[in-house]
Amino acid sequence: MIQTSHERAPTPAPGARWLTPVLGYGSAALIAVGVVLTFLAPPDSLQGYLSRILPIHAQSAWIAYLSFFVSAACSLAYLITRRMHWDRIAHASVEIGVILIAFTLLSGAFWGYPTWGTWWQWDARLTTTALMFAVYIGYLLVRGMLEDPVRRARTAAVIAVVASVGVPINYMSVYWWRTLHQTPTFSIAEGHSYLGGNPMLQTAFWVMFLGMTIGYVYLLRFRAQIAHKQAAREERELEMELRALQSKPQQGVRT
Amino acid sequence: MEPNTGLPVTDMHRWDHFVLIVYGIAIVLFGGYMMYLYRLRKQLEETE
Repeated sequence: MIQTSHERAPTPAPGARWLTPVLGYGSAALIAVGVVLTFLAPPDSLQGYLSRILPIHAQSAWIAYLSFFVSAACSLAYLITRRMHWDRIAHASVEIGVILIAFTLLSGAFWGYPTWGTWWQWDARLTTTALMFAVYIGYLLVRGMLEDPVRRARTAAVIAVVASVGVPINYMSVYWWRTLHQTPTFSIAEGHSYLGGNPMLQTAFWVMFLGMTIGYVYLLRFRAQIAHKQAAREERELEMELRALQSKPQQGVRT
Repeated sequence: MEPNTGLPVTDMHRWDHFVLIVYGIAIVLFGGYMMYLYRLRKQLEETE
């Protein structure tokens, strides 16, 4: 039996109309500056121009981590409060994270082939990234298969919370297993940066960090607004179905 | 442009086009996702 969410989609908060495009244009401008700086940076003495892949590769991995953490936090909030609003944000965040993790894998392969001599290796970081990608694709597939909004939200929330365990494992994999993939490009704890010898590329790295983080917030808001409209449509369709069922003369009922 | 360390750049330059491929993939992936979102929004607004 299909259940309704028993929750009307809330009215967007004041400021929502202008904030989303401002975030969108702001992030686009910052990313453009980051890309220009990346392409103006001199080549690395060992990697040549391939070092230009690093800022966008590392930042997409970071935003993917962020998006999976946000989805876990929102899913937990959904399981506690049962408000569909949290489920919509969690879904939006996973969708963005999946695209970013796909890009991380692809850009990593294009960087790895010339530098490591292989497109793919069953190394700890690469394998855990591929696993994370597969798990979150599974999350989206499960959502697509369940029609009941409440059951869908509950199942997806449990998957998102459990799957988020993979994020710290993925981050720490380069320290725990010490396989092919190098340690993080930048580490505050260790006080090192692989881009330290190239100030322009380092600047590009931080500009991209800012631009892509704001871009993530923009995409999250935009996607959640669309999910809000989708939920409202789902609710309308369900109401129409119920009304049609109620107006139908009951057949085969003994009086 | 000279390398930042002053050391000679090796034959890694033969992989320079990989940089453009990666940025091209980024444009296709995120551009495609944005197009999908705009289409979805338009579709929903039309049925509202």
